[in-house]
Amino acid sequence: MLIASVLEGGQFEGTLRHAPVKRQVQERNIGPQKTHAVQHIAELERAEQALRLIVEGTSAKIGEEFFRSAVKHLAEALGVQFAFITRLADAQRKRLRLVACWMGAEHGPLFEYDIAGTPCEGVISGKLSFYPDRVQQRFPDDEWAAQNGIVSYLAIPLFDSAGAVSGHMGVAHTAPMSEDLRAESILRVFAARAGGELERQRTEESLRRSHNLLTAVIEGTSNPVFVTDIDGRYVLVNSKAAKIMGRPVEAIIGKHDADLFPPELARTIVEEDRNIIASGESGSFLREGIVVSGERRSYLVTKSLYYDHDGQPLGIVGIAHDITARKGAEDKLRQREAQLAHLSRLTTVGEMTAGLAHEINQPLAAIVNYAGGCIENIDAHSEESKALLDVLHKISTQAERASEIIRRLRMLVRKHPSTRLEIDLNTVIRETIDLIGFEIRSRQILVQLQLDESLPVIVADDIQIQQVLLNLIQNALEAMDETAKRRARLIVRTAMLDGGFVEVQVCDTGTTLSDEARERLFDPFFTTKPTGIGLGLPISRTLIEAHGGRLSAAPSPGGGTTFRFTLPVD
Amino acid sequence: MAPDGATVFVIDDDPAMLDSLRWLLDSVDLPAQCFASADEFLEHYDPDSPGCLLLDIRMPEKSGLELQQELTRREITIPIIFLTAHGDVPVAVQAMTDGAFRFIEKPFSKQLLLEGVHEALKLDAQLRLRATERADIAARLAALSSRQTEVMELIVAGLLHKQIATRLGISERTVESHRRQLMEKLGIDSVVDLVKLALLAQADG
Repeated sequence: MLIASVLEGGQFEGTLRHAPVKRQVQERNIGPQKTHAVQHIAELERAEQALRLIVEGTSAKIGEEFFRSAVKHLAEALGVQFAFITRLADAQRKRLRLVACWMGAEHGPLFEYDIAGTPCEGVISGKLSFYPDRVQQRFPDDEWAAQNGIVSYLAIPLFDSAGAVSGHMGVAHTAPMSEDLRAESILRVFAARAGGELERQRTEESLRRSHNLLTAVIEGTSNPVFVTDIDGRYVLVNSKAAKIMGRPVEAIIGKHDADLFPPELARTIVEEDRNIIASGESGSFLREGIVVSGERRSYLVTKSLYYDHDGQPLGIVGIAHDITARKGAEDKLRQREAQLAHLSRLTTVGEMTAGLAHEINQPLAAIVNYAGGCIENIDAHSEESKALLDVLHKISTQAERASEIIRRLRMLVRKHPSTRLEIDLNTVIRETIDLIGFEIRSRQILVQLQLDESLPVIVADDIQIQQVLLNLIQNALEAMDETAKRRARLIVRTAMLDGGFVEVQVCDTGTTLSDEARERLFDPFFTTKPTGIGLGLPISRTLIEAHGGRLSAAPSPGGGTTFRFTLPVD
Repeated sequence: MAPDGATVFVIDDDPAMLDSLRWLLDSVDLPAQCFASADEFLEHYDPDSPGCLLLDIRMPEKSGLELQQELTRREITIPIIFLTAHGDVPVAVQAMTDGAFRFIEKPFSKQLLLEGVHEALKLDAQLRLRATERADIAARLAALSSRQTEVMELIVAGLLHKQIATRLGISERTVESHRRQLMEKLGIDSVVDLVKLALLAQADG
């Protein structure tokens, strides 16, 4: 365009008289004997030639290559020794840096210099500077001019798109230069392009700088960060994000979620993104169970949109926060809260039970009495009455059973003072086995006592500990009712633990409990036995915890269940 | 069957308890009188009528324990079977140390209750019999002259007639005569019985 306007402008007519061009013309064998018209045509051809050089010199070239090409062609087009392009090197506009410099036969060194005392000073203030001769006399401090024997100088400022001076461009020659409009115009043609190129270069540089900054920030953060375009293709991920995705950064860029994640997760992500784009609002999403380096981790991913300058969304920026530790703590807290709630429920139940026991036992007693009176009044010898008697007995039995439940429930929560004595746990265990010996013998179950005889004495309520042992052993025996006799084995073990605790294990080889059943074992009223009430284990746990110990259940290695409780050695 | 004229007195603020107990006691031919409160019982109760007490511990106005203390104050010895729906160990201990006959948790089996009632009635009958005997002995002892009482006490203390005579400054024959008369008045014919009777009387205070 610029070139076209120069060509159509016609303002050069009759003024193209620059000596070197004439030389070029002479080289093309256009003799001086030609007519004025011919000469005019020749000059037009020369102008065309100069512009062709410009086009060749600058088309399809960018950056440094453009500048190098531009100075060379500029010098050639204007038939001068030197051509140069600079850009401002400091914000004070006191220094310039050569971007390219043509020395007549080759490109010269690029350096920075102070403009003070040089012909460039005036150019940087925004004006064309033309010194047709005596440059060295005019600028005696200009060493470069002296070294290179500069006599004449022509330069114009380069402007950025905002109209500010960004550098300058010019030619210098070792002979005087005539005031030549054509030279100025050609310079201007180059200058427009050079200014644009300088600006482009600067923009590119600042882009590169901000890209570096962005990369440094993204890589520097401890969070996984990713950016997708509007079609869901990854355009940027940091190495932390790549690690989570389990592949190198290069293998992620350009891919969609569907290429990177399992189908279900990919669908979820796409859905989230769609909602964000539709609503224009950022959102946070929980990702649990992401396996990173063999560990399950949880992340909170915050996604927001980024926009082009028209406010159209370009894609999504996501930042993930590793909340595994926090989640772990939260889960633990929630668990503890649940335990507390459970405990307080138990306490409430306990307090209620105490009051309710009276209220419920009264009618239960009345039921038993009425039934008892009926039994006495019925003639036991008549056939008809026998059926009735049977039912009346059942009524009594059920009412008594109901009150038994209440009685045990109250025991669970009763705060009766316990007497703590120094006891030998092994002795308590042997006594308990003796106590329940009949049941063991009648079931033909082999008992193995593996007692650590070096166990220290502990301070505990022996009755309560015995109650726990009885309960655990009774449970173990009942768990083996279905077990083949040769396999049925009850093992009671004691051992000293680190940290000042003794441990008692009661193991059976009976039915292995389901995980669900084992989890609920200590819930009040949970029972796996047809006639059980479901209070034995919760009571046992309460008793052990009241002693500062713990009671838990786990599957036995060879099938069956192992209950273990600890007690502190005071 | 209850001993002659014996009654089971039932005190409970719960009408269903009262009614069901009456039904149960009736069914085994035990006469029962039911009261909804301790005061109602005290109003109607004649300490001379034999029987036993089925007493609820927790009642709104006067508790079972308070009634027990009231009866002790009035020197009424009717055996008390406490009934409780609460199973309070400390309360039970208190009731037993205060002389309760038995402590039964509600609900109770028919057997447990009836066993308790029968034993309590038996105890009551024994207590009443002994009370009658003691009253009889006291009456007979009161009929003795002061000299006869002196002689009796010395005989029971194990002194020989000769020693008694010396101690009282009377002749041995006079001692012998007092002994015969006082044994006659008391209606006994051996010194062994005399010692037994005197001991019974002393035990009474």
